Amino acid sequence: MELLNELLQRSGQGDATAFRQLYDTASPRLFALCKRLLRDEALAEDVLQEGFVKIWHHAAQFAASKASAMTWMTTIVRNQALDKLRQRQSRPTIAEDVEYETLEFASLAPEPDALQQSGEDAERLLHCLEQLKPEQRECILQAFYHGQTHEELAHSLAKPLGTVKAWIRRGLEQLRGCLQ
Amino acid sequence: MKRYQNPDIFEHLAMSYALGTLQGKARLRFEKLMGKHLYLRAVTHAYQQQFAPLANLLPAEQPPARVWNAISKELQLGKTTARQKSWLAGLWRYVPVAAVASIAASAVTVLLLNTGNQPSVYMANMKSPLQQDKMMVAMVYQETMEIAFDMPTGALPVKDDMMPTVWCIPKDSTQPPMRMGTLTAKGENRMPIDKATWKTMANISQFAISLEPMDKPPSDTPQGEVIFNGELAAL
Repeated sequence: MELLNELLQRSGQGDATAFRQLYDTASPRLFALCKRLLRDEALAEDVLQEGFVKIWHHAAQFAASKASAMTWMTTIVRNQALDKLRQRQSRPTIAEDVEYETLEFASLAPEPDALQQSGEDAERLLHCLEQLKPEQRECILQAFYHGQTHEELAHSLAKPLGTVKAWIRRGLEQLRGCLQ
Repeated sequence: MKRYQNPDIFEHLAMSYALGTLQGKARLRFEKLMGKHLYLRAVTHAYQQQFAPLANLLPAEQPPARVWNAISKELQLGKTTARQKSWLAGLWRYVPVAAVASIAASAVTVLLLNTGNQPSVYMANMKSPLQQDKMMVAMVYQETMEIAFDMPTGALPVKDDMMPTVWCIPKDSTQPPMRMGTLTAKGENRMPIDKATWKTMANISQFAISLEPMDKPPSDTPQGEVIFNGELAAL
């Protein structure tokens, strides 16, 4: 974690070597996130590229930021991916893709190294997610990893739109209470 | 606009934005409002931070080499690498090899020691005990050594004979509150802090703002009505 923070700060000072190391260390997880969100390998590569160009240009602002480097970069890349999803004429389909529905990859008992990288905040978030009803948790994780709209979630879960909206609203309310 | 000043509504919007379920025009509208209001940005940012670690749970996937090549070409990094060497590389020219190794070892030790240290920003999301729709945000920054306050228009009452006064309430309830200074109803509200005050933030549980009478000398404890309070959290 500290290494990434230092690499990002040095990138902000124009240190291209540090930026390369930053990319080597952080890009595999960010690429995985792009692929989940966009469900298109070529598009995921574009977004990862755009994201890192943005990270380089804005890295100098990181020193004043309150986040860890990984969190800061995740937010930039994820917003870039969500923008790209919204720009697309036709959104990728998700209905038949079982892998995306089960969310097994996002196990709530993650590998110790993944937890260590994320720190206490992640532990608290996971604890709070575990307190949710399964359907609420599923909706929230689907929305985070796949950038799905309420309508798409209703379609992929085969539930009425109002039900899905209520699950998410109550899930977020409960999360808010738990995280505070 | 008023609905965006209600914490129940805007916190839900901020969470939906951070999660990605706030879509279409509502998302664009919220982005415009975030551009105008620091407290919306602060709350949204806090939730983005809280959700972001979920990305670490994904199994890593190595991107193809062409992605880095494209980044490097777009940013013309090949040309800048020679000019901008890393801090460690720069040391080689000035000090012997053994010294560089020991400096690097110390740097690693410092980096390890710093893990889990005090955060660089604290935030208190304060609400009015009397009017639930009123709120303000206090941010304590180590970078600029200051406390910055942000609030919707009209959050502070304009009374000529009363001064909104900021207090820090220690976690240890046997300790008295600390009087931090006063706010003005108009204009920027920033308070410089010193290193000792910054360190104290780790032991503060709450921020509070009370209305203190102007015609009396400043007191060590709040005398007037508390108009805002909220827990201080490390970000």
